[in-house]
Amino acid sequence: MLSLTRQEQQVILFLLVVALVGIGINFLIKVNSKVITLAVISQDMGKININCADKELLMDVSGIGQKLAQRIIEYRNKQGGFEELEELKNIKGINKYKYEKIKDRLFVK
Amino acid sequence: MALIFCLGIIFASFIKFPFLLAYIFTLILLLLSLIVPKRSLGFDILLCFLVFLLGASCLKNTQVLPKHHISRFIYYKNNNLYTIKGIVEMEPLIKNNRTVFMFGIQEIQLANLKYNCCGNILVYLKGTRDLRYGEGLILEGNLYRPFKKKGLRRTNYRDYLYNQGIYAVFNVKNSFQVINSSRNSGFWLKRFAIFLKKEMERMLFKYVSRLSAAILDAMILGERRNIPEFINSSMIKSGTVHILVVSGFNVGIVSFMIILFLKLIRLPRDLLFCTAIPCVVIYCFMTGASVPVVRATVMSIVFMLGFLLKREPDIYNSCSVAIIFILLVNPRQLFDVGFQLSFASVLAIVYLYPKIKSLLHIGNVKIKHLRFILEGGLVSFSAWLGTMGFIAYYFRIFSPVTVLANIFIVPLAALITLCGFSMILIGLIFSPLAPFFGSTSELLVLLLIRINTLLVKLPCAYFYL
Repeated sequence: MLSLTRQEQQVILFLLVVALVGIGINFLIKVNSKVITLAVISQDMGKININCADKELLMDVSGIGQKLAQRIIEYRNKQGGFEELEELKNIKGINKYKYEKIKDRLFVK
Repeated sequence: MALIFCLGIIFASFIKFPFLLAYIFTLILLLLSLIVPKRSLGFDILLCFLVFLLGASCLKNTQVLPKHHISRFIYYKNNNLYTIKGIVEMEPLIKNNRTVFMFGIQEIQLANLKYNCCGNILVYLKGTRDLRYGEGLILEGNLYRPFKKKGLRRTNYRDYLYNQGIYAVFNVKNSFQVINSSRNSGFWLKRFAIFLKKEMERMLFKYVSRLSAAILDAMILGERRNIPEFINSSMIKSGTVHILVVSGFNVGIVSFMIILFLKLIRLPRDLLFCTAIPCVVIYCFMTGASVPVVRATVMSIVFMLGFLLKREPDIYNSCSVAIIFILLVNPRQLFDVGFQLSFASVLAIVYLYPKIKSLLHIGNVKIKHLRFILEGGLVSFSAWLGTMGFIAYYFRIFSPVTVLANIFIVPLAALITLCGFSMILIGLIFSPLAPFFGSTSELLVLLLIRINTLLVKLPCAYFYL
């Protein structure tokens, strides 16, 4: 029907084997592929945790001086830690304007 | 074999079954065909079924996507910003003040999680930005599935993109959300081909007027972005738009010119073909490796290898090799308009032309020039017959003027292509001579536009369906 010579038949069969193995390998690679989490980008990167920071670290934030850093630590020790960032407003020396200025550099965890 | 392979793909596109089922059946048939005596009819039947199932397995395999494929990261009704990292997979196009390009993703970031990712997407970037193939980028924007809108063609946009292996569209709102992460990635041969293309384009626009250079750019290098819309629509109406894209015709001319040049420098026959094959492959990359070009490149390589191995080249075999090569890489190309038109025209010319020629006894015409014109007309007529159905279905246009138009336009296009190539080569070797070739090309391009406009104005030249 196809009138192929013996050599042509062998070549076609060889090519079919190669193609089929190739498709099989390709399928296996796809099936065994995994979604890998390459990185967890923290929203808090570059911010200071006010529940752990010491006086020097707090003083790195522009707007927080020696006295204010001391008051933050005293408040933290008295209350047993901050639950939310807004509690900073209860500290003497942190008004609404100051809070807006420093809040982006701090976080609570 | 190629036909049976195509039938397998069509079968798999209509019937739903898992890839593994098709693959196991193909394996069983392969084992049986290794056992069955080779001279029996049973072997031939088994071989046909084997090729059929291989086609089906191929298509089903492309439908299986990896777990980290980009299509799995698109969430319905999600307007979140995505950050993606990857490389530019093709030379960007500038369309309606937007930079459009295919992008191969490597990493994706959603909220604060970054994942590995694969697959290609189409990126729309507002404004124009000078980007190159292989450039590494980090982009920020919205990711969504392509819309299912239907244009003039019967295929919808989503299916069209799926056939190209593109599963998502990415919209970058402003260029500040683009960060160049690295350069010089991508396939070195393709990068080299694109560099050559840019140099040739520079040469074209230096020696010829903008309109002629745009037409030459499309005819020689397959770059259609500078073609004015009125020229494009006029060519569609006359059915000669195929000359504005790089096709087998151009690859044939390039192969011919390369071989001629190598013959002139008296290169030995074997070395001549060994040099010509890489040149044709580079030209294929230069023109964007579209289906007609890949088809023609594979066919010409098969022909050259035939000469190299001292075997009689057979056009049906080389065409089949091209079909199987393209479909093994991407079986979905079978449903692409470009693929269908390209092979329909070639097969129609190869099959119908000799039959009609002997039927009309064209070979008996004594006047040489008249015979040449009649033969040219018959080639156009055969190609028209082969592609008429596809053009009417996809583009809803029927152009009886096509046959007449091609008789005049095709030889003129061949001349323009030759002139354009010569101008570029002369420009590279001895630039003061290039303007003379440029003027001739310009004249021929203007003649082509005039003839085409005249033909379109003829009564009953074309009908919209």
